[in-house]
Amino acid sequence: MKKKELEIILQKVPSFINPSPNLEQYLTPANIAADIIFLAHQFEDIRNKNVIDLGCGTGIFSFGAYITGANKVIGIDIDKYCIEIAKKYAKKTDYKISFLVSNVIDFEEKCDTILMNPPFGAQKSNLNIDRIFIDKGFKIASVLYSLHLTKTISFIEKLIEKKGGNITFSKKYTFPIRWIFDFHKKKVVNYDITLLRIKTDKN
Amino acid sequence: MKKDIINILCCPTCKGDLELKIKKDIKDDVIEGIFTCKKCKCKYDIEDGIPNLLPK
Repeated sequence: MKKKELEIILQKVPSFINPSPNLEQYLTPANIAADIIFLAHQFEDIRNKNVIDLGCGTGIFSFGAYITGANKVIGIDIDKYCIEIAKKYAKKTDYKISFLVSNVIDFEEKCDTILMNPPFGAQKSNLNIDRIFIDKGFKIASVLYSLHLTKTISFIEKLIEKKGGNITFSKKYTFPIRWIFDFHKKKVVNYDITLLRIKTDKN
Repeated sequence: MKKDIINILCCPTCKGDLELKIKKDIKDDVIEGIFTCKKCKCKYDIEDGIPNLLPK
């Protein structure tokens, strides 16, 4: 499959109906999601692997991992409504993915690879939420793919070093966030984000 | 929700094992049911095939 083909498939993944600003529910753009899935595939972190999508939203990474040959895919999110959207789409397309509603903190199942676009912690109520996702990732997976605001990367790097992990790859993207909430003042704001591939100390 | 997913889930409150009671299923897919924690007896619903593991 070509990257462009995957991107076209991922563009069909439904978006949030009533996105919650507190949960920072922004859909990962299909071109970025497809690029990340392809990178993970090249690192041999997808095919025949057990993949978990933490904070999956409507499941764009889950669908991408399933389509590119993951063994088992689980998407978890705290928001029941977006899981319902994801589940409905999985049923329609007959993609065999398990979606469940759970707090990321409470999830204990081990896996090979985690793909995640954690909330950036832009809202006060979400302070340090990206850290909670990384902590969980270190507990349950051997490789993490995680997206962060580029301006917070130095902090994230320190955190990963402290936990004994290794950043083996990073790539920058521009993430356009469209005006969807009342407190947004501009139509589109571009955020610089960085993808990290993190090897935890597990094998 | 596939029945075998119970093997990977635990109670979010006390980490105890869960027991599955099925109300409605199609083959291996559970459509409606209830998880009950064997330890703390908390209950978690499965609706429309989606397990909801948020403590009430």
